[in-house]
Amino acid sequence: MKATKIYDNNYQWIMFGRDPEKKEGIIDTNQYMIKTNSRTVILDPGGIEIFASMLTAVLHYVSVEEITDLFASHQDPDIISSLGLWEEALPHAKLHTPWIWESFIRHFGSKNITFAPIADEGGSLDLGDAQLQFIPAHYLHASGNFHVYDEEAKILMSGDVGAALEAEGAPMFVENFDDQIDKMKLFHQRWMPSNRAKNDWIARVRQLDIDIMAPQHGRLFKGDDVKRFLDWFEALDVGIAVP
Amino acid sequence: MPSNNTENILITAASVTAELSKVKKIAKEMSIAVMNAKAISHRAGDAALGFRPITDFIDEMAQDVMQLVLKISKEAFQLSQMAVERTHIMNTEEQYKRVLTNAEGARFVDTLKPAAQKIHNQYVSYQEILQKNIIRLTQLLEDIQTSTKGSQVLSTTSRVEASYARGFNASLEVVAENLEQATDKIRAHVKSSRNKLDNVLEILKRENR
Repeated sequence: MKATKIYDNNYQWIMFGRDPEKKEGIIDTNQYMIKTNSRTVILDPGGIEIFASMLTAVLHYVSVEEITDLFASHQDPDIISSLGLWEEALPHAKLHTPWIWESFIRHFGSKNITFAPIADEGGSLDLGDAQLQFIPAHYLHASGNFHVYDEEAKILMSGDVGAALEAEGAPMFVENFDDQIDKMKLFHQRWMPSNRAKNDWIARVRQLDIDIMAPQHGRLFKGDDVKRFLDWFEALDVGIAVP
Repeated sequence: MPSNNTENILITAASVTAELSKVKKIAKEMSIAVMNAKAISHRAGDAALGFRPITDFIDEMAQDVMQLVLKISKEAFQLSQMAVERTHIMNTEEQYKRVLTNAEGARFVDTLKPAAQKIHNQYVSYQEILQKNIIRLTQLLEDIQTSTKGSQVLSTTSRVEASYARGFNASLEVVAENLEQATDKIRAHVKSSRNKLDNVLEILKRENR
């Protein structure tokens, strides 16, 4: 699995993805890790199928003891079905996840991990050097859903918002926004159920200072492409499966 | 493959439960037949005096079998749960092994080793627990065989006692006949369950070697 540092200052953001060992037919996912001197969190650690590749990649950067927290933006299998495998190696880690999904996520073979449920209004995680905010993103697409914002690094981990269905080995960053639209359009129209939720999220996210918007699938958005994405998303009608 | 062995355990536990539900049905029917036989022997009066303790004995046997079936079903359910848990442990061990191989040379690879060892120990301990559970199940099945062991003698005695109950002997002979058939069926179901458990136990022992 490819690892890319997307922020490297007094702490690091590392993105893991483009797994060449991933089985055919499984959607490619981006996992993120924030490593400070005292703590490490893995955001949306991924599905059971990519666990071995993911942990292999992670062990180049941190020891298992340093991984203190996991975050699951929502309950989907590509987000957190690997939980039962992680928790055997991380008996003292906490899982931060929307409160509504706790009892559902426990179906992923979870027995020991401590759940830290996130209230609907959001929350924060103090990693020492890094201060993370859990930004509500309910109904985008899951009914309980959070994104992670790091004010200092100016990174928004945006879960399924900004996601694209890409060919194998796609570049890490969006290179031409207009070319990206075709890869994102159906995903957002079909996976996102609510225009009201979408517009509320856009209004809140516009207030944030963002250099990188990092979705869970596809390419990351940098600089002006973040604003381009927000404008495009605002104009998009979502929830199209209901006639 | 270990995963196939897990399937074997799950299938065996389900088969044992299915066989035993048949045993339970037969024991229930036995119990009802005994109530009927008690009524007949009551009507037959002194002529069926020797038949009454036999009906009590058959009833006791049927109740014993039903209780044992209940216990075995609970144990078989636990066996299924343990087999599923063992699959999780085996999968985790396999995944950690893959990481330890693939991450060879990674700076922090060794930090996974204690967790990998812990998982391996859990696997070994589950193997032992599973084997103990299967042996316990086998013993409970053996208890059913022991409970029904005297049925053939009981059936012969029933026939003799039935012959004394003039006017009612035909009805009571049917009871004796049914008892023999029912216990034969029970013993066959139990034997089949026992064979399946023996096979699984053998597979687990081979896995350990």
